[in-house]
Amino acid sequence: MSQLRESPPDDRQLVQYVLGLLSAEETDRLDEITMVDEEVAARLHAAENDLVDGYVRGTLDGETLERFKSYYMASPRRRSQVRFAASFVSAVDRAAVDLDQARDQNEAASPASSPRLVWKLWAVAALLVMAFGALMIQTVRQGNGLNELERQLAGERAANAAMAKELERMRDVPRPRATDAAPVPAAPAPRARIPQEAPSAPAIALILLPQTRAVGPASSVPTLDIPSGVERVAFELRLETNDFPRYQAMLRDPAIDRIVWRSGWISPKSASGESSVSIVVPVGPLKPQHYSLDLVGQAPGGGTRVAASYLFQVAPHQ
Amino acid sequence: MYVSTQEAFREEPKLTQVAFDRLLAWLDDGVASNGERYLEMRRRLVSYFDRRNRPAADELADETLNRIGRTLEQSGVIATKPPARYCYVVARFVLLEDFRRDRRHVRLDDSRSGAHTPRPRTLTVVEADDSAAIREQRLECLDRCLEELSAPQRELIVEYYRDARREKIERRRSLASRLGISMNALGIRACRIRDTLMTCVEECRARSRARKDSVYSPADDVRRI
Repeated sequence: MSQLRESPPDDRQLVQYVLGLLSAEETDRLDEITMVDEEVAARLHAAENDLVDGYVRGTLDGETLERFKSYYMASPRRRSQVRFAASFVSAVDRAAVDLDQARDQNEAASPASSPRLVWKLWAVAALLVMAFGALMIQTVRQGNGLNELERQLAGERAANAAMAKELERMRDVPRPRATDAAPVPAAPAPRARIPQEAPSAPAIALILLPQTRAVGPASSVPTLDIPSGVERVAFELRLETNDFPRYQAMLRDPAIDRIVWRSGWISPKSASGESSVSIVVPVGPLKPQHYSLDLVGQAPGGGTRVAASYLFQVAPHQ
Repeated sequence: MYVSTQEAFREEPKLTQVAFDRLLAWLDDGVASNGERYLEMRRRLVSYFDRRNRPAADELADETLNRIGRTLEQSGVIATKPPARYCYVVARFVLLEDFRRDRRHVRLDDSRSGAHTPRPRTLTVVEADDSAAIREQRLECLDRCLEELSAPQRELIVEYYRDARREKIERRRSLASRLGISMNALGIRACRIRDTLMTCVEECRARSRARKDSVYSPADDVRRI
């Protein structure tokens, strides 16, 4: 019965499903997947609402319109939904006009509404940011320089102390006779602090394409099998376009519509003409279900923008 | 014109409180949802039966969930995961039984009157026509229900559902970007708010009907006669 491993339906197939245009076999498949798969169920709900709104707004045409009138409207319950949608769309459009008017009034009342003043404020803000940035860089460099000096001084003091101890020891030890062959131990060299090695990253477990490239009849949601004992999994998120200097990935659980994990800010890498972002996700939050990885880019001047979304599913534990 | 709702088939006992609590917890699958998962699953089941052209889609959805609740009350555990998959399995059985029941009714009707249309098992509230008064009432209720939403919810749903064709898609992308969420997540939120509004409007209209009925006067009957 389970047919969830096949490719998920795209929006066009969902509309055909709602209009009863699929084969019996396809209908059975979508009956199951639209009941069981959270993401597909949500997309079906949205697609059906949009179809009904399209009818009410008069944007359906051709076969879709004819089928909607002859098939979809045959159900009393669905006719009731269409009646609600007609009122709903009307109320929303009225509220939209009020919203736009309120926004226009707010903008007109704001002292920063003058375009020239806005540009001046942006210019001042940009100058301040640049000055602050330069100051920070200088401070960090000076800090680094001071730290380096301190390290060198500490090293030399340690070396001097060691040599002084050795001299003391040599004064107390009787002079070796010419026949003695024991070598004089050298003074210990100053020891530099070796940074702790970062743990080696796990091998890439899954390469994901953005939803805009992955959606289609021939694609399927990538599945991740996590063996027991594995604590982290690595993903390579391919980018359609590399528009931002840094990215942050957010793991979203669609069942509760919440972010359950997020990465730090990561620079993208390029290889063989493909740009991508590599992340390592702890296994802890992952359950056997669908997930989405939302990638946001750090826009210049601050703020973030959604760059891409990726879907994958975790296979049930064997 | 309204047709009152009544149960017309042999009725299984309704769920006990224990069974219902277990059903809610089982549907939540470890993540408390305040009954949202139950409402969402019921919505999917109703849609499923309605797409299969069953006139009593609501009753069949309730029958499905009641059977699962009784199973949980008796055995305590259902191994099938996720819960939605088990709901689908039970729903298929309920659907097949409903088809068989219709065929038996058709045979009985054929023997008496030669009718070929299956008699519906249950009758649900149907508005035969959408008069101007009813449309106006619905609009008034919608405006009221929109006002009851929080400002961010109202802005989201207005921005999501306004406009048509290309502008609508661009506006939704921009809205998702502003909120820092994916398009799918935005769609889920918008649909949930829309469903909330639909429920609010039904309750508002039910209250209006109740107020209208309460001012009924016996003199109306005299006038009709």
